Amino acid sequence: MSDDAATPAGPAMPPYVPDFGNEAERLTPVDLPDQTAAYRIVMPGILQTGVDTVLAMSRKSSLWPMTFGLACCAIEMIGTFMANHDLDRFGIVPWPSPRQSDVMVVSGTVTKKMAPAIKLLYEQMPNPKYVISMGACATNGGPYTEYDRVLQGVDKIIPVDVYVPGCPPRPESLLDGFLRLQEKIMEEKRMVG
Amino acid sequence: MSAEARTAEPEIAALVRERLPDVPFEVSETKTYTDLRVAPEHLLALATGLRDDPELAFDLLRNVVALDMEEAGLEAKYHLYSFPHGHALQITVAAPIPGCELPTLTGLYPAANWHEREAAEMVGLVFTGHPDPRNLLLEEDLRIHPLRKAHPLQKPEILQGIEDGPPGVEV
Repeated sequence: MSDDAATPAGPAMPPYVPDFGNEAERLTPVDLPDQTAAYRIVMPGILQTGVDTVLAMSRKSSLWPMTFGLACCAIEMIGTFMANHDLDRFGIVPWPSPRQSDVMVVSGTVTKKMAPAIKLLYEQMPNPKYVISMGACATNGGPYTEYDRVLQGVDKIIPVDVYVPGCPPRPESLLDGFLRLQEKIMEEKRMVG
Repeated sequence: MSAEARTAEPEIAALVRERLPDVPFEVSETKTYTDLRVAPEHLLALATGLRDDPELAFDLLRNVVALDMEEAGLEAKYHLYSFPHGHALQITVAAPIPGCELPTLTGLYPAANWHEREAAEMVGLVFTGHPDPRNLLLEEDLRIHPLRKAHPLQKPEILQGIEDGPPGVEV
């Protein structure tokens, strides 16, 4: 290995000055709406408990996750939807549009190039909407910690309800994440949106 | 692979020296390739000779690798393969220091187009005469070179408890 260019007599390399453009603006977190329940204003008091229980039960029984995958966790997510683990029996049916979806399963590494697209998809989903962060990469960067081009956790840009650990998580873990999300919906029944 | 491993011996370097006597280069051996190190001004002549000579006939550009050698500047490595003869070769070019400019090989090998775009955005080589010098993988408005050794890393985050820092990081 000869390094002719390593002779100190030659000119030095110019200093490296990265220009990030307007990336910081693209990675700002989403604006959350004021999530006060509308029915509390319309119907104060009397029907409150019954209505939100019924709404939450119907809501948790038809969670439609949006169909998209980012990395290898998506393979486990697809396996969870298939016949062996069969998410359909919980009413969890993949839906190929953000407009009618309830849950967003962020399955995989969120790069900084992909982050604005995820933010846009989240903003296109109607309220109430939930986010499951699947796997170590989506939770905090995972094995890509300190790496510059990977967002260190999807909760930097969108709010996350359930974190599923694993690299990648087994289908049972994702199933448990969905069940925990159902529990969470039953616990906080107030968000009608 | 076995035929390639048989022929990827120093005789390929001797053959190149015999067929292209005008191009100066240094020969070294790596684990997979015979490496020819040329000066940037001889790169186009060497690549043209390697492609067009019937005895050499390197008709496939397998890969373009760009390296940051820190104070020694930037390097590009071209991996070539010959379908008619089954031999392979690696060309190493050290880019001239202030400008880091290399001539493009897109006119010889169309496969060089995207490889050179990736090398240009990842370590900051400048391929003169490239027909489409946009970013390939990064966003279009970014002018950063993430595979430079000097590229800043992100700060590691402490998520749970102040005493649970990652190993080796002072909290």
